[in-house]
Amino acid sequence: MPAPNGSYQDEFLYSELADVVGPENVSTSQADKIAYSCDYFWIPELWIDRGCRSPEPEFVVHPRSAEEVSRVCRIATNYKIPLTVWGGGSGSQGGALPLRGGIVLDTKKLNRILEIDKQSLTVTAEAGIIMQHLEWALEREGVGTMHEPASIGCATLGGFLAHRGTGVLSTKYGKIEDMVMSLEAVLADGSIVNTLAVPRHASGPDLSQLFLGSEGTFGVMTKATLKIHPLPEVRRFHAFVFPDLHTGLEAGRQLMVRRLRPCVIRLYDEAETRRLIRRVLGIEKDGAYLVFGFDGDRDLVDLEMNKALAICRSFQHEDLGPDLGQDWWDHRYDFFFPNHMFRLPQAFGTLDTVATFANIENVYRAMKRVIEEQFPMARYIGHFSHWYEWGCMLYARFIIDHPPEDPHEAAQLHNRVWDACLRAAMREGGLLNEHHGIGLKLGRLMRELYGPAYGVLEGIKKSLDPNNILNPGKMGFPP
Amino acid sequence: MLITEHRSTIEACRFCFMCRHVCTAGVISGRESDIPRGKALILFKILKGYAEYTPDLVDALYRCCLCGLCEAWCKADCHPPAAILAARADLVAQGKAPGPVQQIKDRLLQTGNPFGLPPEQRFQTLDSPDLFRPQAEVVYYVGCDTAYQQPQIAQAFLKILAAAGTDVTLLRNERSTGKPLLLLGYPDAARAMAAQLAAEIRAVRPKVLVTTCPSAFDAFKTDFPALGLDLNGIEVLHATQYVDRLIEQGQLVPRQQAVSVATFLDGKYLGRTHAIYDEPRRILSRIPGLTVREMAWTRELAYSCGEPGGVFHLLHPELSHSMAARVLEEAAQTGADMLVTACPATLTLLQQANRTPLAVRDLVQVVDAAVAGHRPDRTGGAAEPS
Repeated sequence: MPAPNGSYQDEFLYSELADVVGPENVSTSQADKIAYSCDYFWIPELWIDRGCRSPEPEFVVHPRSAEEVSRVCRIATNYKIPLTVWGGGSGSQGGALPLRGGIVLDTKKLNRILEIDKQSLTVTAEAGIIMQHLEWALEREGVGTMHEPASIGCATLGGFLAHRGTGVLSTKYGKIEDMVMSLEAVLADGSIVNTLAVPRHASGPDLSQLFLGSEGTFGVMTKATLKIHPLPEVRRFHAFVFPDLHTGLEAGRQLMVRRLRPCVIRLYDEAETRRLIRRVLGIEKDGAYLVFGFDGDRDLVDLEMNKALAICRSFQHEDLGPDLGQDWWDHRYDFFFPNHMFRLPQAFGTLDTVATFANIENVYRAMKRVIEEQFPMARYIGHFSHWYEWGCMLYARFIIDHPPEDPHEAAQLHNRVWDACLRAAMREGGLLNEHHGIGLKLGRLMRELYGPAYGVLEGIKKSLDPNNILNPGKMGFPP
Repeated sequence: MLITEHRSTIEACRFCFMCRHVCTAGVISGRESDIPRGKALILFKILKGYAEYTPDLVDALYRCCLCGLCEAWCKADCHPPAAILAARADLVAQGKAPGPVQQIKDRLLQTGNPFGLPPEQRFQTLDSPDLFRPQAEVVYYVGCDTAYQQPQIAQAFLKILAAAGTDVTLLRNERSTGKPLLLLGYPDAARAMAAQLAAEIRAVRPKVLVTTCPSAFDAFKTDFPALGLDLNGIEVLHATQYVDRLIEQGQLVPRQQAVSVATFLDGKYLGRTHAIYDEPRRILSRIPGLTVREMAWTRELAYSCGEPGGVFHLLHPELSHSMAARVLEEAAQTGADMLVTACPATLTLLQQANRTPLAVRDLVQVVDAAVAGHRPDRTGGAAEPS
């Protein structure tokens, strides 16, 4: 490992870090500095594209245990060096970017599966495990977390915990925060803390939920116990096209408020049905494409599926049948490969939000109106991908095919779109985000979202990380 | 710059993480610069003139074993290994090859093998009365890894060929195919070395050129034509294909009972490049008493030990060791008692890393054991047990 290129002071820090994790697990390589300077957020991608200078870490460390994480945290606290946790780095909000340089703590060597408890149906794993690796290992045992996002191969368990991530089966199995039994975290001062063993108790507030979604600003999550489920006997899908989004939303709402238990409901607006569904699935339809699925024991699936079909057929519809639903499932990750994803030189962003059934269509239309009236250079598409008993999530996107060439102008336009759209969403009862997190991208809007309650978050941050070394500049906390 | 021809891969991969969980090096090291995205970020900066080939960036470009699992997984038709190979040629042309790379290149040029071992030792452990003949129907190209690291593979294959009555010769002046030079970024030196070998092969005027080495097989099938080298229509076969054919034609009969459960490891060149998946499984299934069990990762998605070209493990032995250990762990999970490969470099890596109860064998060794004692009379009666 080459020595760092900075001041001789860095030589001492390098020695200290190498003493903890071993020299093979400390990198000062320029190749790593480039790789850790960019996550899946459009702004750092733009910066790379245009040859602008991005913030880079001085050191990348790969600890192999919570104890090593603890010692690295103590070093960072002692010298007041920023420490940014990096799992897969595939977040879209800039949450893993080392804005002030310092140490990037890559968790991917914390990748062991510690216990599969088949009696209680739980798994305990270290937080750096790539989620797909965990899921494959569980599937060999006939079980699964059922956390299956498009980023399953890119992201780590810890990344999902840190951003309250979700997967395509969330409607039945929940978001990651619903799956967590307990977790372990390392605090800025090096303390290793564990939350209570089970999530249902009346023994004070649930500390697991304090760390979930904290994006590495409260501590470094190193381990978690999750609920798991037997692999279903069958998983079946069915697809419809409704004449418009409003009808599709109502059909989806009926599936939920009748308290059926679909594992998936996904409804695409007319624009996304025209563009993405056609490109990926080859279906040429006008209207709103809805796919849903049920899984579990065959007889129960049949029963629920028949009830769901009856609900959907009570609206004006075109029945696409099970095959065009199964096709969606089989290609569900294809949407995220570069040939289907939006990419530079386009400017784009996922305005994902969540609201009650009473508000969600208004949220969709309010953001659409903002784009159409204020940003004529942009397009707006959306789908509704995670459904709850009380409402659903909107995965809206804006796309600007020809943003300004100048990166600063492009970044400013990008931020104006976000501000205007999310303020419109919040006015209609939507939140800033549903499952990608806040990161750098949305931090400036946190006070508007929380109001006076943001002071509670600030108080927790000051208490747990008085020197502001943990992932500074994220979640609206100071850089 | 050769990398300009790979612009679409570089621009797509630079911001894509979709293959990170299958990247052989990246999964082991956890380093972001080890996955295709990390390489593409570097190459994009080079392409645009935002960066130069500094030693750090060059080192990163040699931390890829070129196993191709990323492109097998990709749904966007991206080809990171080809882009990385182009970058290596570019940086070598700029005189920026790292010291260890240059050392391997020098050894290849001086001795004809990447280990720097004397050419006269190449076949010294092979025990056969008539290894070199001026003309033969079949040329057996042994390859560097087999000759210097795994001569028992060559010995077993020669016994199989003898049992089948094959008219075969080795090349007295055999040396590397040049593929390692190509993989390290020296296309001109690779071509010169390959041209010399092609001339020697042509001189024998064989009908068939067979090799136990998948890298050499790919060199003859892919590199030689790409380098403009003509083998005069000589049929090129990997030993796996040749043995499969011998068994199919009844010239080889595996009769020896082998009470064993085997799992077969596919590789980069034999598998992902040339789709030779069925032949090895067909051979194993024809050995009495032998059961074949598949690993979870198999065929085009098989794990790699980093063997392509037989040079990655010389540059990064620890990383390669961990890759092999992962393959062994995967194989052990099948419940098999034998892990079979058809690649000599892979066999070496697996043997070095093996801490499992698994026996590790090359396919021709397994076949030889199954044929031993039941050779047709024309070989001079029953052969000794292997």
